[in-house]
Amino acid sequence: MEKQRVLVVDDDREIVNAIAINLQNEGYAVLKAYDGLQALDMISSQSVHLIILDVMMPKLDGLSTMLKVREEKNIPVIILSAKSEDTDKVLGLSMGADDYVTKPFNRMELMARVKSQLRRYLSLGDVNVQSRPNLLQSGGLCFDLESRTLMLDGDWVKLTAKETRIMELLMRSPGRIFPAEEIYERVWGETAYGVENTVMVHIRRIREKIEINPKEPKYLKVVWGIGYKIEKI
Amino acid sequence: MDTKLKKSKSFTAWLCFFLAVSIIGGLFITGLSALARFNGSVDALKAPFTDYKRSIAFKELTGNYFRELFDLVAYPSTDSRSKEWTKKYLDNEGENLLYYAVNKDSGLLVKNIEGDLPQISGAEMTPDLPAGYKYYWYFDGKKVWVIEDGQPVDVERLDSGYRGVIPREYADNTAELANSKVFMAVKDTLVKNPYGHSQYYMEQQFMRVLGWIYIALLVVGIALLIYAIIRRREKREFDRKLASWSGQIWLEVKMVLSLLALSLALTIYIDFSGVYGFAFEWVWGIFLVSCFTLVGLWWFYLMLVDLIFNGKSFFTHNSINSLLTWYRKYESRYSWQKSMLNRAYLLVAVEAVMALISVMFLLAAINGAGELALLAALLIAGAGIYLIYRYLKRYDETLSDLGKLMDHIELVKNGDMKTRLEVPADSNVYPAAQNLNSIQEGIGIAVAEKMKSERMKIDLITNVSHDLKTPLTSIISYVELLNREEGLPEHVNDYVKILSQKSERLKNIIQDLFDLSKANSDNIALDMEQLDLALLIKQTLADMEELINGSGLTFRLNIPDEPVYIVSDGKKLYRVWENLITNALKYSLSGTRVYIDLTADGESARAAIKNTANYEMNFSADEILQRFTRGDASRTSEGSGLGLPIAQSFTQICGGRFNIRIDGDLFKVELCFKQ
Repeated sequence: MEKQRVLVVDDDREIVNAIAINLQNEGYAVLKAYDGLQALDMISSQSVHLIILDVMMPKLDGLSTMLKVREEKNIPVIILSAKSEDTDKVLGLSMGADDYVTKPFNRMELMARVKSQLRRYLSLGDVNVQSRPNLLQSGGLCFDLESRTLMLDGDWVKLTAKETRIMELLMRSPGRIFPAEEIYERVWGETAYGVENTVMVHIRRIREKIEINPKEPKYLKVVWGIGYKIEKI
Repeated sequence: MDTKLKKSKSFTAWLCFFLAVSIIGGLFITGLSALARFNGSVDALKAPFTDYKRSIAFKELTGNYFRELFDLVAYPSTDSRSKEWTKKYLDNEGENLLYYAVNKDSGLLVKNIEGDLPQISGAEMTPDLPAGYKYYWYFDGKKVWVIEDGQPVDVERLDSGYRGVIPREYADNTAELANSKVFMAVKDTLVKNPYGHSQYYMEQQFMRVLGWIYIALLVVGIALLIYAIIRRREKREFDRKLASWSGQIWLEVKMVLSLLALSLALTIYIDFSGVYGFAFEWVWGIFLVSCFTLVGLWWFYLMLVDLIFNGKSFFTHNSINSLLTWYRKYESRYSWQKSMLNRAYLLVAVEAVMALISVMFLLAAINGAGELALLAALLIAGAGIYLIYRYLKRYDETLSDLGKLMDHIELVKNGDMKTRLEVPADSNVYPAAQNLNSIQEGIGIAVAEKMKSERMKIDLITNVSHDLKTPLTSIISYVELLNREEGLPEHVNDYVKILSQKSERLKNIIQDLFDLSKANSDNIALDMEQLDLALLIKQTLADMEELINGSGLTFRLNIPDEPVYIVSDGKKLYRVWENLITNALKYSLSGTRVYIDLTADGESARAAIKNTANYEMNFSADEILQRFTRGDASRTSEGSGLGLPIAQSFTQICGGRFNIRIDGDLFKVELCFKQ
């Protein structure tokens, strides 16, 4: 099988180099670009499976480059930026990025995210999720109501019975915030009294299974002081 | 220079208009007067252009001469002096007039004809006269005949021009006049009398010229009018100037002058419309009438222009208003509250005096002083009511302006720095409004400056943070690569490990520094919502469960089971608790307990975290909040040293209070939120 090709775009050559070495170690083919225009040239001339894109770049910035790419192709884009504020992340994701990694990044985390995006793009890209009504989906996360299983980027995630029921509950309404009591009452079927801790422990375990970086969850989020939700992606 | 030229231009245009209207109006009035003077006979207007001898003026003059003669014979007592005077009067005409008057009863005879009374023969009534005398008047003892070319004229016809000219006294005393005869003939061609001033001749010459003067004046008038119409814009400019001049006159003065002009024109008209006499006299009379009528007309034109250009101020610029304006200027010497009070007192005083005077006039009127006293009483009472109206109106305006002022203060308080307070310049609160406006402007500028500098600060923080992070990314990436390198000597591996730790710490410091600066710049986006503080603390503890479990410390929670709702930003509060718990984990004596308490009384929610320090806290609460101050004073351990300052800043921007208490080895942080 042909090597999967990753395009790394950043105006800092050393960063591009370091990412490239890491990617090559993982067995990917790497293309390097140092500004947005160069990146667009490469995308139009060669087939690329994933783009790692810096935001603040000369000539054409990362977000504009991403919009240009999105006009034609559906290549997954991971934004790699020194801007670490929530507003920046929301902006990047809402403009069509598949993931957002802040600088300075952790090597392992970046590689995991690359792998996750590629797997989803290459294996699930052609599965039309909308056509299956009993499939709950949010980003790379899929819950099959028939088999009651959770898939992450096409991989089966091993969950306990309670965890499965929590995920089913949350995945049925992505974006809705569930208070801890409600989760407890609907999953355990008992009146909740001082049981937040039980729910929290379960949530944390699920997060460890489905999140690349549990400290900065992408899917299963804590809404502080209110409850929990599955991000609607 | 230019404006002067423009001024003179506008004046010229206006002058043309003035002259044109005066001339045409004058001619018109003259014509009308002549018509009225001669009982509406159109012949009066034609007179200057027809034969003088057909004109009414000629008939009147002839009538006057004939009356003189007739009076001599009609009143027998007439003395010789009046006879002489009459003769002298008639002889001024020289050969233009032949006359013969006789009263056989008194033996009076006045004549300038050689011989006896010309024989008037029979029905043709053609007297035996020298050649050139075909027109004569004749009283035959019964009746006055006017004969022209041998034919008697029907003097009773309205259009004959003889009505009111023929003496009719004979009808009263036919008996005395039976033996009297008066004859008077006028020469066909009027000539100059070298021995006296012939009225006939002069009037003929005058009438001949008069027609041409009329036409010339009309032509000039129309030409001027056309010029004025072409230059109406400039004329209008001068009108405006006129209006601005006349606008300075009080309404009362204008009214008096208007009445004066009206009565003058009327008086003059009445005076002169009764003048019978020679053409000179009535032309002069009509001229005067025209002049005064025109003066009146122009006065009212001025008033009209004034009214059009000055509009409402035509009426409002009166003596009462001027007095009030003067008073306003006078009262500005006093403080605001004093002048308002003075105004009220003064009104009461003035009203009392006016009421008194009014009542006095009224009493006088009742006791028979006449209508004038009543009028005065009414006028004074009216002025008093007007004054009260003005005062109340002003009071109302002042109150409404005060209201506006208060609303505006509220507006400024709420942060509107753009809307300006508009209050009329003559308002009582105008100075206050102006002051408020400038205060608002000042605050607006200060706020804008602050916003600008805040924005610059944020930009600086963002840029510096970016500039620090980029090289750090390379460092961390390459250290990681080094870390994966195999076959390095043991001590190099140790070095790499240190590099890895320190770069990680540097990363944390940069992120914390950024967060703290941003929190302190007041420009942080908050996502305020209602949340359960109890749940938030539990969630944070659950999130940090592994760290807590590995610390060997025991957490004692005193948190109510029911929700403690506050309105705040959950993510920021999570950072606060994360930092506080981390702090407790880091600096607690091992084996001791960490207490987290939460109480709520419906008004406020109070949370506290207490731990026993594992070192001697020889610093104050303020010092620990200084950036980069760390409890152990050495800077070897991990962390940025910004944990507590960030917790404090975030608590404050989330609307809470943050206090640190140090009591021996007890370290306590108290948080307080409004519920």
